[in-house]
Amino acid sequence: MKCRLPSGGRVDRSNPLKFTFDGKTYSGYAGDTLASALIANGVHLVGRSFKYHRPRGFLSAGSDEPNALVGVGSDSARYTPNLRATQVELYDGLVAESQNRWPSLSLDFGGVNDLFSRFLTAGFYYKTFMWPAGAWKALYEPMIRKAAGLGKAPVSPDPDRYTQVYAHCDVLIVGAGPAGLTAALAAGRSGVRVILCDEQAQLGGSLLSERKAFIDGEAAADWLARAVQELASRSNVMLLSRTTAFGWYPHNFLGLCQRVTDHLGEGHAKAPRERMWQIRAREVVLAAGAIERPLLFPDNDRPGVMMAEAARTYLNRYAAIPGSKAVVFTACDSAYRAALELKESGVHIAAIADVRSSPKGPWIETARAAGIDVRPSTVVTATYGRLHVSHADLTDEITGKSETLPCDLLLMSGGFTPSVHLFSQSRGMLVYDESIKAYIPGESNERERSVGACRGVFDLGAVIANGFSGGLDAVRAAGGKPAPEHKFPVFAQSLGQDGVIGFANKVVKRGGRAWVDFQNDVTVKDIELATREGFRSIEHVKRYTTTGMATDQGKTSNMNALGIVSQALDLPVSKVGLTTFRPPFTPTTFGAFAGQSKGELFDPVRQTSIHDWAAENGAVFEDVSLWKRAHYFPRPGEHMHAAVKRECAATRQSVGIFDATTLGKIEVVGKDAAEFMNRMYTNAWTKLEPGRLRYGVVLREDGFIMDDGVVGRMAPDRFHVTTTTGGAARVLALMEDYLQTEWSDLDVWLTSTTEQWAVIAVQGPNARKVLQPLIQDIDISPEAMPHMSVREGHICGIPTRLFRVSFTGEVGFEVNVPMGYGRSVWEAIFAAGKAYDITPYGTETMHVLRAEKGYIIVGQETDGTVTPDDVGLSWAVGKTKKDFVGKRSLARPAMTAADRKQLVGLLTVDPKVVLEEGAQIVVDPREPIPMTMIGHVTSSYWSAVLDRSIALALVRGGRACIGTRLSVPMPNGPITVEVVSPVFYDPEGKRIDG
Amino acid sequence: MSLDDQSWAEYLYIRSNPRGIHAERWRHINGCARFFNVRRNTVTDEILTTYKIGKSPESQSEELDRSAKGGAVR
Repeated sequence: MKCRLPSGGRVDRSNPLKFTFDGKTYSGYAGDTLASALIANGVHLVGRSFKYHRPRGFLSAGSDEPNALVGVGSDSARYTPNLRATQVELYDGLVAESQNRWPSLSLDFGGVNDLFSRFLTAGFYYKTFMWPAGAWKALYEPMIRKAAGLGKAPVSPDPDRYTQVYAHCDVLIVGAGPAGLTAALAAGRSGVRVILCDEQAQLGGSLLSERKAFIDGEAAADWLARAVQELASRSNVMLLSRTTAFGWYPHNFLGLCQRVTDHLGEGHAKAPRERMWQIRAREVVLAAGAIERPLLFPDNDRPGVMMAEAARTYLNRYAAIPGSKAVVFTACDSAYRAALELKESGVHIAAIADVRSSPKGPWIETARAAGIDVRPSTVVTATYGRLHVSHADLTDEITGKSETLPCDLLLMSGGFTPSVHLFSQSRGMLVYDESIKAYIPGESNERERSVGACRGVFDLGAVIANGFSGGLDAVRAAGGKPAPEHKFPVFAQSLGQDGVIGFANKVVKRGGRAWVDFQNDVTVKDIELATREGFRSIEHVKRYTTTGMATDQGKTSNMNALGIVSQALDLPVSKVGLTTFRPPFTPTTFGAFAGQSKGELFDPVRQTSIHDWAAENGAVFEDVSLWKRAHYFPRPGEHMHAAVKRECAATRQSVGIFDATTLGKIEVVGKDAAEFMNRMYTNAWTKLEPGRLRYGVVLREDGFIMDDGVVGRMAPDRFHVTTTTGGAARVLALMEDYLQTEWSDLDVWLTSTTEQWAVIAVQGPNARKVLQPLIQDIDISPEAMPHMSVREGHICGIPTRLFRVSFTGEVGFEVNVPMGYGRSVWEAIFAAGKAYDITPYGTETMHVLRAEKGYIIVGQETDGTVTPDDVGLSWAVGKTKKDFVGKRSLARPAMTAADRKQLVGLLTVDPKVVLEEGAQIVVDPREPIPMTMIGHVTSSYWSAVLDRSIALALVRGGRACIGTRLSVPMPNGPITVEVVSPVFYDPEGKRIDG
Repeated sequence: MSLDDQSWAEYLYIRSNPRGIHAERWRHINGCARFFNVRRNTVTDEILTTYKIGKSPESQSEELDRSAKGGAVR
């Protein structure tokens, strides 16, 4: 590794690793990131920018990195695109590749975009690709799709496991730099429950690259080790490294994503790849630190142009040297420290160009004393070098003189931006502090406080004191007993708090493009263009130019963009404002959010106790909400149409058996049960005698049909209510809503019994004959048990509520038995029915048979805008009832208008043609487009018993159209239909009694 | 029918969207399934108080004071 120091850094030299980048193999050490290892190997070119495909290198050393986006993974299942190489922990055998380039990083055809940059400025897509309109489908869209996007998506299912964990704590501390660590020490020593998290593998933050400072009497690195050890030894403190707090949700609920195994390589079956922590914290301490800000100058994006503090991190933490001769361009003192430390390790510092006209203080003096050429009032006005920076022009703002200096590293520092992302997400108010040119946390909305650099405190001594007191403050607020105060004497040279935002050049004429948002390729010119085009709000500028909208959410660009807008509009920064930060702080995997909810576990599957019998007998299933229902029972060689035709015929001719268990059931019990039912349903219930059934309709408050079902009165104070399969929970919720919040005076209670009863429908002329021998103690003769009656007794010795009810129009029963007995009773009925060729049928046949009788299905003939009268159910509305849910709404004029859509039947003039459900209906097929649509087909089937097609439809003023013809326009031509009554078969209802 | 059609339509379909303290009804769906009342600040999402259906926040807190023996609810 040609750019690795022989000793030093925190990498583990006893653990060498091999990895490949763009097909080439390199060496590194455990403890490296992909970025530090590449730098140690002298690799500077690591990506191509999004829009212009400009060669890019490492800008930073952390999660703020905008350029070095790589794809990591050795196979298509584990490939992850758009990872920041500065955050990828190196492991042996790691395979990584650069992105957004073809055919290679050094020779990328996309680079031609840079030649056309004049035409690709901000918002160019609003002004181009307009003409001709026809070119969109064939040319523009395919072209744009190919060029757009960043990284390649994996194409195989993710084989890794992700889990989700919930935790509570008294104090959650985000960030384990000096402020976070001391806050954790304070809270830990106070004995409260503490969670400390940090996005990096090692705790310590800025202390990990600190060589000179002394804390509490020892070198920073030693103090750090002891502090971590103390925290690790406390049982009330949980340390989460490699854990990013990515989102703040109401009431101190934070989302954290812990990367558990990525640093170990691929395929660790024993542990989940990532753990999503959902933490409810009494109090939060934000110690998120600050992000160094780039300077704006022409071509400030070349590989080798890097943040000063990042270079210092690569040097001190990874012993990796990012260059051999450096130019430093700065607006603050901290870059001097980086320059001096690099010089100590053998890097030649060609010059420090300082934007400030008279920089003073110990850092400047030490730099001069070390022989470094410090140039005040000097700015960089150009850089050179296509794949790696080679020279920079330094221009004296006072004299106007320029000098070109050779360099292979250009360090820049515009100051530090406090990380207020999480604070902003928690909806705290940000306040602009002119003295540090930064937004810092103001008034909190949640129970939190910010400490250290993230609130604009930069000196190490102040940071540490601030962290400790913040920790104690959190303990107090959480109701705990604070540990004793502790003063940490700190020896560290102050770095001041100077900085600039926006363009720093005061005097020198600007030429060339200066990059603001590196990832989305937004330049100063783009932002100035936006303001010239009239975008004055920072929200508009952001969206028009896309600055701050890349995966880095503007970590290194937002403040500079703000500065440019402020300069362009001549408005103070605080008047321009800042855009809102949104979770996640850094990109977070889909897997972590999905957790275990995938595949078989995505949704619970509900099955009846008869399900397995159906599966064993060849049923094809369909999903009805979360339930599996048998759709049809094909015999060998049958497709659906043939099976359904056979099932329908067999049921009408002899007897069919059907699993109706999924229907909702509610037991309504109490002295006021009938009164409650009267108020909930449209029907009158008071006079319904025990032992009788009635078809009930329930409306919403706005008068539209919500659900329906047959209701049995078991006793004066007990109703067995049924609902549709999908509507069960909704109906019960509506009932509970009224009962608890409006009618608490009623003596009635509700129990969901959907899963308590298995329901077996036996339908057909031979239904009674099949059931008779199985039932011991109920007289099911037509005289003793007329249609719409219910009896309690036993079937095969099992207690049953036997309903005489029919959804087919044939003689019918529904056998309710306790759920556990569903299958055995089904099998007994099936065996008894063998003599009559009993046929199991599914939901498709059920749909056809009821349609032949004109029975509606809620959700098929109704869509939430249909009244009882619309579908011919006025008879179910109790006329003398004082009030029921929806009654008032039915009286609204629109609800009784004559041209409302009404339920009718449709018979195609050509009986072989089956209409499509949802097809629109018109009067005149020759009407020019747009045609007047007067209704639509709600249900459509082939009727076996009528040997032709049938359909139900909702048509404007439909009942008055009966006897006339209408048209259904279809792509192949219009279909003529005859409008008829919706009851197609046995209109007198003679078959119901067999 | 004490409301005319216009007023009834407004009751059904027109909602106000107050900025600030708002009294609303919640339901503990994944628990006891009971409805209860909440006073919430619609801007900050701060929950100010919860109280039973049919009660007012003031009468509720009096009852709690009388029956409480310590361990105040935050």
